[in-house]
Amino acid sequence: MRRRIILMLLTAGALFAGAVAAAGAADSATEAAKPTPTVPSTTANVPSGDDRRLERQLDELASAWAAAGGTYGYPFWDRARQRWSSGEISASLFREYVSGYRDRIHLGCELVDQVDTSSGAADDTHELVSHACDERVKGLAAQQRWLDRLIDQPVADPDATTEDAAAAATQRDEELAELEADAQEHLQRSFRDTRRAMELAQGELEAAGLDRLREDAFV
Amino acid sequence: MQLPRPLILAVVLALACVLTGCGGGEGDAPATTTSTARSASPDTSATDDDAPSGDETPPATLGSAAVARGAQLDALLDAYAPVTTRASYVIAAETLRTHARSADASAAQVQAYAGAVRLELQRTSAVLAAAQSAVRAQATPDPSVRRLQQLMLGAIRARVEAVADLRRLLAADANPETPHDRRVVLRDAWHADWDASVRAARDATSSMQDARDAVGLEPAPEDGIR
Repeated sequence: MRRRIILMLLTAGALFAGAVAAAGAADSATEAAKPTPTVPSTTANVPSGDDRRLERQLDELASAWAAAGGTYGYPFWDRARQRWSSGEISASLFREYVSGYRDRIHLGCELVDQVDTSSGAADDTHELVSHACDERVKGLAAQQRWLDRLIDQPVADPDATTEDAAAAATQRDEELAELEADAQEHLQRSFRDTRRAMELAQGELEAAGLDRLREDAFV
Repeated sequence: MQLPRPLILAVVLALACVLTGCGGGEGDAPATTTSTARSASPDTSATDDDAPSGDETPPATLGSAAVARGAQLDALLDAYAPVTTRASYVIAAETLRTHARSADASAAQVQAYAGAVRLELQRTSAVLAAAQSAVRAQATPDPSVRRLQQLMLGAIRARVEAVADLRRLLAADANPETPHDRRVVLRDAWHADWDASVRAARDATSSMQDARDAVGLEPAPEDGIR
């Protein structure tokens, strides 16, 4: 009887310990998921050669992104997008901004790809930025197709019945919705990856006691 | 043989604890990796963010807590939206002015660009004041939403400072008597405060996506907070 009770208590204890361990693991996973603290380190870190290399490579990546449209592409495209949304400019003018930014970043992605990185953090940042670049190009290309379709109004067929005209209009609306969703999907992925690239790069630089990049380096 | 009742109760409680994962964080949070955790590794697959992986089970329906949090997050996002809209206006105008100055454009051109920046700063100031009140007025019973609110207010405060810095820089640049060092100091201050606001806005975006992810909500647009 006593031995059985002890056995049961041990089992219960083991189960409880398992539960606590599971909860602890969940907590530590949450802890690991927290972003790197962004307050400056108080310990006097002397950057190593590897740290300096990381800094140089991230700087090169930021310069490539700036040339790819970070400076003269994104802000103007985004402003045009806002102005078009509020009816200040026409869709045709907005399309010019879209194609201008797309052409610039399309070439710029090659610059980004050519940056040589040789450390885990720089490689990871590079991969994120490269992916963001490709997605930005795809998003802008899709946005241009959408605007092309939006601007080119179909000529009404005089022989078409009302039903035919309604069906054609529905089909056009569906195509437009599809193109817009496609553009948004690629652009959102691009924005997400640039955000992650910024977080990763800044966290690494800060941990190494180095200056952070401009906060909109990978805008 | 019959076991003592407290012992049975202890075993049942321990089993229940194991099965429900007691103490493991938010009750209605799905077993997913937060977007911040994902951000630590460059998982750049095309559908990595939205599709649940192997052991992730998305909730079939959103609980009332998730719906409430989603509504609070959306309300904050709406309150902040005008600030995001104006960001590229200011940067685009200042980029043109800086380019004109460095490219030795005519004084009239530089002056025209400076005028455009001043106009943007005026509009941005009005937007920042309105957004600050609107963001502050949002009720935020949920701690994760309150954190987002604080980050947004921090971004607005830094942007108010940045606007003041840029105004001072414009005035200094317009005065030929201003020493070069003074201009450098003012330009650095403008960059530093603008950077602080961009950083707070990005932190707010990450915080918002994490808060949504934790209760199984779809990610919000990545370009909603700038």
